[in-house]
Amino acid sequence: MIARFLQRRQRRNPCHPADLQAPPSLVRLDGAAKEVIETGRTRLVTAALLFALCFVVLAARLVDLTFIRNDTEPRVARAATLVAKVDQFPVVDRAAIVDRNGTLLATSLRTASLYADPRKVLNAREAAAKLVRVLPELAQADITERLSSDRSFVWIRRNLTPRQQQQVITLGIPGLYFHGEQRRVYPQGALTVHAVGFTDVDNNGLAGIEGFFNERLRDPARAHEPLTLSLDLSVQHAVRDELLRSIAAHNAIGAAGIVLDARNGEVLAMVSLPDFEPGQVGEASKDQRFNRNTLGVYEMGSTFKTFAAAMALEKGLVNMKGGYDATHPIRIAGFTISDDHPKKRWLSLPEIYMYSSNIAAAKMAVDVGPAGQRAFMQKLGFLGKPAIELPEIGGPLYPRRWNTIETMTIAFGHGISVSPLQLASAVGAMVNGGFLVQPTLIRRDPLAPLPADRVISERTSRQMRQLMRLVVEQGTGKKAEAPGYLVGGKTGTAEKVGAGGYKRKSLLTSFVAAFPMHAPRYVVVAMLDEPKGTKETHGFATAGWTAAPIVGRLVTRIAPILGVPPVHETPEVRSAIAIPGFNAPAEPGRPQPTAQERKLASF
Amino acid sequence: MSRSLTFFAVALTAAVSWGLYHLAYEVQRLEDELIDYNRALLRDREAMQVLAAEWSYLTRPEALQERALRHLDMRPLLPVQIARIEHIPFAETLAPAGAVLSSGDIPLPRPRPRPLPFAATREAAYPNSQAAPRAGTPLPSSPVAPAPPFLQSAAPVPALAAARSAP
Repeated sequence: MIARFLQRRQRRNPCHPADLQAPPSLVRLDGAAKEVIETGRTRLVTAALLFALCFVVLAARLVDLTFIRNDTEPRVARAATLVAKVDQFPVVDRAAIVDRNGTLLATSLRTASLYADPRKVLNAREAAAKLVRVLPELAQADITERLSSDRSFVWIRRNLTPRQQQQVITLGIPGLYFHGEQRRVYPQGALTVHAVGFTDVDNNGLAGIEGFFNERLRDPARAHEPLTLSLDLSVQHAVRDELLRSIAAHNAIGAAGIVLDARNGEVLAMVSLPDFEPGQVGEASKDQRFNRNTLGVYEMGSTFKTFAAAMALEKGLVNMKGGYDATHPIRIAGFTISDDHPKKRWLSLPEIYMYSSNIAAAKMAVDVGPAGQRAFMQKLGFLGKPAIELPEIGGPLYPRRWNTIETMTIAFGHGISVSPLQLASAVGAMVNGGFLVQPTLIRRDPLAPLPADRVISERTSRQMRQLMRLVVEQGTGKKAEAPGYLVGGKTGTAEKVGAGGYKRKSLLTSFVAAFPMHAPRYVVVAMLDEPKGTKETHGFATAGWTAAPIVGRLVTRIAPILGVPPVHETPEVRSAIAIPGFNAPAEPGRPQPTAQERKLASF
Repeated sequence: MSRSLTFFAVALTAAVSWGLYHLAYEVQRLEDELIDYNRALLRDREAMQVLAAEWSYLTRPEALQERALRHLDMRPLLPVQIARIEHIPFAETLAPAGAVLSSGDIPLPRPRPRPLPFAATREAAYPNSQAAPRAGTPLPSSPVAPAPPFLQSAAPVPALAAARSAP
């Protein structure tokens, strides 16, 4: 085709020899001349074909590039790709931690670190003088020295704030550069430090949630999705505020407080004092870093009578009208078990609990027996580590030999050490209808099934609620009353173990409570370490005077935050939380047992 | 024909080159724009993170409490101050000092105006208005305001009026 085209062009060309010479019909080329023309034509055709082939190849390549794209090739130019997916790329590579309402507890911020290339700094003295004006915490002499060194890299200051960075840029000093870094920031400071934890300089979680969920928080695929805790910052603050107030009032060396949702095990507040600023971990003492709620295990004292009573009720060994004789102290194996508030008579179960009788609690536990008590404690999770999302978890301390004497002391909370968190979750099971729910620091999905085991019956749970309410209405915990919120609870005063036995003067007082008692929703634990008596408490440092008031004030403060309405005590509510003969009128037609009958019943 | 084809080819080449040239530069410009936008986006997201941290810091419960104690005359909420919505009486069970009328012709049952503590005139009640409030206008809910004449003159339904004035 091309040959014919060329032929035609040749013919049309006015400079073609054919036009100058005679018309083609008259001239016939023969021999050598014809041969030369034929050769030229062949060469032209060959060259044209070659060019055509090249163009076809180019066209094919163009089609290939534009329409038939290879998947391995980038779809867009590289520079565009890097930033085009910015939506999927988080700005930082460690996920934020937020509380249940979305308040930021921990976040990573991009910061700029200032460094210098001293060889490019023109006037080290002047530059240092200017820098110190913007960053007053730097020492001018030190910076001058650094900027006049021979090296090509010196740090001036790490982690500038954006404002400081802008100020340094405005100075316009040549030879200063910024290196982008990431820094973990805890806007809430010490408030949530034991729960949230902290990271090292390389942003590796070392403690708390930061430590436990280090992998999850570092996971690039989930870095843009914050980790939601179950904590409620307002409640957390209220707990910390009240504990701080009590520490100051009673000159205590430490305190711990927990607010737990009794229905689903969510920890709404967890405060351990003394605490520290997470930004200044290095300066924090060991005591400040110690999480008393999960790592610390303590002999809880009388709060354990809750479990002795529940155990006896559950086994049917005693009912609300039954009781034990607490006239004489128990002497066993060289020990004497006596009462702090001795009544020296037969006590019914509500009285035993209300007056916190060690003697009767010990007798109750002995009736259950060591094996039964051990099994019950096991069921309540006191013999294992609680499974909460923190690396700092203390295992309980309990006797390896569990005989009658251990059974007696454990009944009133001595000889077994558990963490406040374990106590809170076990008390949750006592009041919530009998289910032990695994405590958690992560907000639960309301639709997910709840990991819960039944530990006591619904009936026993109701009776425990009544007993706990009685303690606040008439017993040792009157100061925990928060009008309208039907608080129920139990005091616990334990002597701390020192060198050579228990120390009478250093106490560990606690109050474990739940509210509102007709339908318990929240468990509150408050614990004070070595509180001292004051004039207001008439010199007493026991739980009823030191720990119970914390709970009373706290419940009044947090109930509106948690959306618990104040309860008007209608007859129905009253009958749900009151015990006939104590804080409710005695049932008609059923006379109370006389003292003589009670004595007989104790044998 | 050969000539026109040549011209056509040259023109086409020129047009295509011109188009390609512009396309290439347009793409480059758009890509630069995209990068600029993405950079701005990144910068803004970083700024948002900083602001979120700052907000969280400035609204620490501790700081809010301190400020509230210093500047506000407020005390912690007491249980007696909390009421359920169903405990709040409906507006109609309270004596309505002013009534809203949809039509001036329908006499609305309403309580007798309370005896006035002083000799109030209509002009005293509405010092700035010459015209009487018209039907359909909510009247000021001050107890001293007497009912406008068109309501006073309307005969109330006896049974309802008796029921209303009973308490």
